[in-house]
Amino acid sequence: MSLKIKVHHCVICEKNYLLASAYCPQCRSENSFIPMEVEGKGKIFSYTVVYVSEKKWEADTPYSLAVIDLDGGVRVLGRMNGDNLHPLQIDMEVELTEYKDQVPVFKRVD
Amino acid sequence: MALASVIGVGTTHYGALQSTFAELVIEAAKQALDDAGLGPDDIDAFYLGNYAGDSFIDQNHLAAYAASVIGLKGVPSSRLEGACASGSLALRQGILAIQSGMYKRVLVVGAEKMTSQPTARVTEILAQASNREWEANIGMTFPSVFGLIAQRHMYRYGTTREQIASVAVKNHAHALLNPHAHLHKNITIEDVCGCTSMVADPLNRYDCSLISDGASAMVLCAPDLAKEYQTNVVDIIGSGQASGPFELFMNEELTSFSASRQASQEAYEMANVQPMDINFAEVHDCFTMAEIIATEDLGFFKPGEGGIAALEGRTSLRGDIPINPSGGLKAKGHPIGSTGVGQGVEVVYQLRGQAGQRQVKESSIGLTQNLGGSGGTCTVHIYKRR
Ligand SMILES: [Zn+2]
Repeated sequence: MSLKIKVHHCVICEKNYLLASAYCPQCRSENSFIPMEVEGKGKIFSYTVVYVSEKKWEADTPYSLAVIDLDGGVRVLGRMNGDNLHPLQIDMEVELTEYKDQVPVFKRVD
Repeated sequence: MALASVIGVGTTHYGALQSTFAELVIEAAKQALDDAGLGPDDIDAFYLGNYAGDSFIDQNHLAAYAASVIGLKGVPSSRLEGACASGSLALRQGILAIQSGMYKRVLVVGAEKMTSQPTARVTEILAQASNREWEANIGMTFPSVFGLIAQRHMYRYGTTREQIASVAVKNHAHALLNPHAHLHKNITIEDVCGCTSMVADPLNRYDCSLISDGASAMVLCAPDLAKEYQTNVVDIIGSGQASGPFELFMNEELTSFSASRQASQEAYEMANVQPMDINFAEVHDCFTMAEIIATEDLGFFKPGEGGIAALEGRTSLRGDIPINPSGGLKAKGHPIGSTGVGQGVEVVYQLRGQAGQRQVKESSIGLTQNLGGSGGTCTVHIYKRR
């Protein structure tokens, strides 16, 4: 079961955003966002493996990062579970399984 | 029509230098003033491009500080910050100041002292240019921004590791001919592709620009006054600036920066030229991959064909559109706030025919593209020999 992700839903144009802004990026409506949750499931849009990190993540290296298009119409940045360092592929189906030190960690859907 | 004229240029060497921030500023500013034949009291306004003096050297209020060490007296001084595009924001402010008619002669300096901090701390300071909460705190670094971009570009267009590597090989070769460059080291495609010192897959150490100290400076004046000060006048005929999504993942396609396309469009229209009219360009190659998408966003090559063109040698010094004849950020060096001004200084050297061994063939129009963050800020400037 994947975890859910909080998003901002524009009640005018129905688009979802991870980050809120005063005016909707798409329809330009004002104060049109309401909080909503979407399923942490989607597909990898791109990925990389980080070998040189900020100091605080050094113990985690190498770790993989992925830009993920969630089925709920939101794009997020997350880490991939350490078991999937190299076999990652664009369009691979993934789901959010845990938050580790507040970092969203995704796993390949088998 | 000229927006402003460049009547003086100057630059320090880029590299891991002994000089302090103040010494770098003085060296570049003095050279540019001497080149224009002006003294400190001839300057009406001063703009400084600097990204993170507060973090790098624990000094703020930097425009007034820089003006003071140069010896400017009473001159209105302002600092511009736009991540890696800080230098070109200062330049653009200088152009706008001239255009407003309020000031006749303006000094622009870009400067950064980075090697005062250990590499791990530099990485943290640079990460401040991304979204701390939603990017850096998840583990994103700037090399990984371009790793994510590279993977998508390879997937979408079939761009190869060799094509990306050829950018590093070319820029190293150019820097060998540039006495101001940080790195003087010939490398091969095999060196880059075979490097095991990975940074952010598929990018390795050879794909990354350097941590450098440096400063560059320009004196601008109103176009109708230029001949009084300088026989070898270069005019700025186009200036564009745009903002894109702040976070990398908010870009619809990772293979292009909207700010880069928009800023270049504005500059081309202002200058009344087309991409094909540009003879050579200095573009923002903080990573090899960044140069490939810059050459596509600027319209030199079709989307997806930047890598092919680089590998074919079309962007090398003797190619049909030389890119980064200076060696670029990759090998000339990337003292963050200095870069945008340094790109312009190189274009002026080239247009004046003063670029020595790295001189491009007979040219009348050159372009600079300077990118901040993951495409949150971009400026494009077009220069023409008078
Ligand atoms: Zn909306």
